[in-house]
Amino acid sequence: MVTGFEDVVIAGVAETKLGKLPGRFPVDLQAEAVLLALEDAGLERERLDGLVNLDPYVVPESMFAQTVAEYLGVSLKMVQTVDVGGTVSSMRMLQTAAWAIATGECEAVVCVSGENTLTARQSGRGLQMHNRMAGHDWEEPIGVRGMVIPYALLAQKYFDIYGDATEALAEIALTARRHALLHENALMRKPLTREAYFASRMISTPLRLNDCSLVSDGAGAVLLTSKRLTKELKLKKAQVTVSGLGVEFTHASVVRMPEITGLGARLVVERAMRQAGVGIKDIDVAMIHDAFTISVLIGLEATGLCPVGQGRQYILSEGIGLDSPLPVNTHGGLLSHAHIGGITLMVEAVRQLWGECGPRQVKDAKRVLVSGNGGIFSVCGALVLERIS
Amino acid sequence: VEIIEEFWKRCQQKEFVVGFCPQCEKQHYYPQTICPNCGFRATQLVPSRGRGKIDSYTHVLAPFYPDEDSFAPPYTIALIDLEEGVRVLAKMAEYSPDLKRAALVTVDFQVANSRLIPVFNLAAQ
Repeated sequence: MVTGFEDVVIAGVAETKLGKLPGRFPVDLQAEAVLLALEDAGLERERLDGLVNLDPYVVPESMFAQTVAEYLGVSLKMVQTVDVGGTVSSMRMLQTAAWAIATGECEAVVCVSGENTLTARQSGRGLQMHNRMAGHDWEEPIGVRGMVIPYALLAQKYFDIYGDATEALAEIALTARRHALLHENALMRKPLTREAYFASRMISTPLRLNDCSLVSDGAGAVLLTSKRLTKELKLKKAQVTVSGLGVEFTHASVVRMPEITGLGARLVVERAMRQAGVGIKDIDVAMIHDAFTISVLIGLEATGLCPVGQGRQYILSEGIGLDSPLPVNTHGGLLSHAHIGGITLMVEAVRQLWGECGPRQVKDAKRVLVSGNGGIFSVCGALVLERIS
Repeated sequence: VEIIEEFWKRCQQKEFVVGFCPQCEKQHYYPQTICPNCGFRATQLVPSRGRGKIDSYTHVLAPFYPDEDSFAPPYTIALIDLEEGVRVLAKMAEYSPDLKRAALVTVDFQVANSRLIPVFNLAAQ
């Protein structure tokens, strides 16, 4: 357990409607997610004293925490934007909120992320973001645009070193879809067959359309409070704590990416589990940032469930579905639920711990490992969330 | 930004350059003014022999540049380990569906959007 975090609990989570939401903007999407999270917790807006968010990427805005806070009409002790990358942004948001509560500065801090990624992008150009990332000046002029190409390079490398993992990637996509069918707010609500997966068009070999996550509008939020406040207000939700966190940065652009065994993914899971005082056997559900199917394969190996290079055999023999030894992305993941940064992985993790997942509930889930990265495994992060009684 | 301009200027003269640090004598890529290996603040650009080996590759089959003929699919992008020890990212001169990891390649130049960009050709294996 992180020192001080014993007194911090997750009291509410929310996600807005997802998909194509014309007329919606980052500010009102995030504000709505905050209000929904407050409602979920049963906390009044006036009790909120901190907001941590991620800035929008497609149409970038600076000092975006202030923008959202003003929109909500609240005075806060803490407004902060945390931009680390992918799911790691959400992990650091939760940690930042927990710190503020642990030190006594704040009592109720909301973490929120989301934007109109789908409607704000230029049509016919794939996902093009106006914010510049590492490597932009060098890559844009030579034919490398967006994130699919770098991930395809990583996937091909995995195939060349450890063997063709196409069947495992298919299984990852199919499992995500099966889970999404059990989630009323997931974007993909029609079954995906094996045939349809293999028939989906190649984007950048070896990655097909169905290996790529869903570009979507929407926002999600996680509300953290002090235990004291939870008791005072008799907040209805069961309690969940942040019991371990690990983060490792190795590179930004794909050209500086280390070999697969040198990625930070394994290291961060070890750090997070050591801090939480648990092993992989103690984890009931895993949320693995699945921007692409290959991310799950590498992320799963990094949990220590199987050795590096053995993930495809593991996935094909044990599976990652609800009845497997370690169910992964029970909401359908970024592949079939929606890609709203990593915040929706947090939302689902907490709902699993609260036992709110209905048909996709993992029985008696006590601990969830959230594992993810930002960029091209540039910064890796792992978080252990735990239910306390 | 100057270093980026210089890199492209040298490309127009058909010279492929990488970053070099006179203090630690290591090369780096992408070029930058501060050495990522030792922190020395006056790096140089040095010509590369332009010979290397494929680390990974992908065949781009979707239109990422719908307005630009230079990157109409299909085309091949590769990570290449140069003999001098740095890894670079580049387009293959030709769409190369039979490309394999560890294949030997050499640098060349090709017009894209009315300027020369570095590309790689398969070399004698």
